[in-house]
Amino acid sequence: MSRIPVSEDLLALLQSLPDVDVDLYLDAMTRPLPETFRVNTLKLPEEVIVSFLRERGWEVERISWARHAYRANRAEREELGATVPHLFGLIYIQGPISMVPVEALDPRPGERVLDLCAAPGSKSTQIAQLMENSGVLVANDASTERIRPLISNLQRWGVMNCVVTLKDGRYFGKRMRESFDRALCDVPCSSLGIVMKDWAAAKNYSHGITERVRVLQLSLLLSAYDATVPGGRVVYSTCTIHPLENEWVVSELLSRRSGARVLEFRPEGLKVRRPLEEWSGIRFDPEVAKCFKCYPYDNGGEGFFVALIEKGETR
Amino acid sequence: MKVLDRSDRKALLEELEREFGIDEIPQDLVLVEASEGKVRAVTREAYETAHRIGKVEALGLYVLKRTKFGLYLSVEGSQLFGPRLRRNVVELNAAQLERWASGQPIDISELGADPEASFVVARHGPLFAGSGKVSRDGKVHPQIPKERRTPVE
Repeated sequence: MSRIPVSEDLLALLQSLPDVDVDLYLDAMTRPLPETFRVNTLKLPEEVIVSFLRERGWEVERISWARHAYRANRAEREELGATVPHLFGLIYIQGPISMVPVEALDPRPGERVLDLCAAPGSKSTQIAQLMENSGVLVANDASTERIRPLISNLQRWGVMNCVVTLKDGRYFGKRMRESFDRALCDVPCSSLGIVMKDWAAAKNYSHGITERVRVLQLSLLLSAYDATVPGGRVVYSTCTIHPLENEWVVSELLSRRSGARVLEFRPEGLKVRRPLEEWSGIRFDPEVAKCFKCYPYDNGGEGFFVALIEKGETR
Repeated sequence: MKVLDRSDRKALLEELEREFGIDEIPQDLVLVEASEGKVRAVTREAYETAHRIGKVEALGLYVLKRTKFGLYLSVEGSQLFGPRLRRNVVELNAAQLERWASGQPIDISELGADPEASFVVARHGPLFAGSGKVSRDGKVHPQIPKERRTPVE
């Protein structure tokens, strides 16, 4: 079994998580993600695009947990991002599990939707597709470097109902309170669920990273929550496995916003796990058990944590 | 960014009609003129939200560009207006689509394009693939942004 370079802090974390198989985790991190993508129904009917791909020799099969999503089994291993279907915006290359948060959010045509940490735009384009270019999507990111790819991906996807903003995500909870029907809060994290994309995340990981980022994550989730109308929904997601960036953040939201409640959501055909009830002496709110997570070796994809939260009438 | 008012839209439509036979711009879309002669199309609700937010980085979709040679449709503009195109549309076969996507010029005669036209829109079956400049060198030069071109082998 090949191994990747792992920091002492990451090894200590893995050994502290009661439901992690450390060997399987480390092995999964050496395996590339499958080639998965969504087809763009904003441009052409799904069956037309799939036929177009098959005419080009692609073998594709549906993914059960996301709409318009496929796995490619191609004989030619040209880079997917350099193919005609990609460049004309017929497909969007996206990790298989990374499609789940938007499925949990389930945006509808005509709604007002906020994507708080939107760059580079995978989930924004997925949201826009489900909204069918109706209603409004505000795609925000705080990074000047990442805003260009976001704009370019929304363009390639043919999105006409979007506004792209470059703001600290905390702006929306303060200045646009109760303005959105749904909000996606896919926050910056320690990325320990996607180490197969960048081994440096495992090698350079330290507890300090989580300590810094979890405060930001909580403030972003509070902002997304406050920006949502009563009765609206917020999805909080990360691509990490750390309980302080996942269970703790949701638990803190529940303690600070009394109207918040977690809704059950289980993606079809995906192996998911219950979150931890406690970790390292910290006991989490029992509602957190309704969230779910998956480890990278569960589905041959990324590790993810997803919470679907409904905003109540009282705060 | 400047919103195109009724007379601007009328003038734009006349230009679109002249070049591509387009006889209608969807009424529910707001058109805004951005930098370098680019025009973006955005839904009314998104436009109003942007107005409320104030400073925004981008709005809607870049659909066309005005140049000294006339106007041309972006890849997404050609897909938006595709069903309304009546003039200066050329059909690409599979091999030509590959060349087009890599930004390589194709002979006017090979495409059957009107040599008097300024721009043509290319399509491959139901897929509209943006515009090409009809040049005096006897070729049509695809106006595909460099970052969206497929690599040339």
